Amino acid sequence: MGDTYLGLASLVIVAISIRLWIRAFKRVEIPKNRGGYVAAWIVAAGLGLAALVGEPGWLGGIPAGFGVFASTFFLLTIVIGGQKVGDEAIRVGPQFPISRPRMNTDGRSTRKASLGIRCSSNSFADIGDLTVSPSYGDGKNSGPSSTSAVSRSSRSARTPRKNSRRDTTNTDSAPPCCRIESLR
Amino acid sequence: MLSDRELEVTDRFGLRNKGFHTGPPPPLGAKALPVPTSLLVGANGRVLWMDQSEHYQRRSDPDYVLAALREHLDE
Repeated sequence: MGDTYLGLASLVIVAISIRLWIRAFKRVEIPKNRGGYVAAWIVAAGLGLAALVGEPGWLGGIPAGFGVFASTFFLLTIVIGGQKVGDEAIRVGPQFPISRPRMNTDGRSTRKASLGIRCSSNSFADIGDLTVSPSYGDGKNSGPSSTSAVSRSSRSARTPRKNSRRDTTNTDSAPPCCRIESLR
Repeated sequence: MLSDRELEVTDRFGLRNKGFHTGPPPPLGAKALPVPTSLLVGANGRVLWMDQSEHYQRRSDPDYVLAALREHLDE
């Protein structure tokens, strides 16, 4: 009977900790020190293993198995989740690696010449040979109409929709830089 | 918003994750992922501030980004 309780305890611990973890994840509040979560999952895995080694029966074995699996999985995501970039990564100080629009001799930018810099949500931005379609709207929408796409000279990406707040296909009138410029 | 499934822009920034790829492989997922990075770029095109996540489960705290914005925009 004790093994059954161990299995159930493993499940309860892992369920509560994962619930708290997912809530923090959604709120972008995963703490830098995740020792509490790690400790909970180690305890849950230990209890689950202890139950499985004994005679938990199906009532304790199923929760124990789930507790071991879930706690091990989440521990694994922490172990393998570290990220790193190469030496070529962007750093503070150097120029942003997107060039300003190139102008023709008459001072007007052309579609091909407008490489890069427009980042406003209502502007087209050509990044290198990529074409970034505008996210129509004020940027607050999260629906499909505000979703942007990248394509190579996609004609559809350059065709404003009917509900566009303003026609930004005229690259001559669009601001030459990102929104951050207007903030300054 | 920018969809960069082929990581072309990500690679121009050098932000492709060189660590373990935690997502599903193609065709279910992407072949690699960028490292979550917040950049503050000045009007002259220089990078004024950046915050980079060391772990995919963490992102820049909104208050942290706002503090950086206030600091640099007040300069």
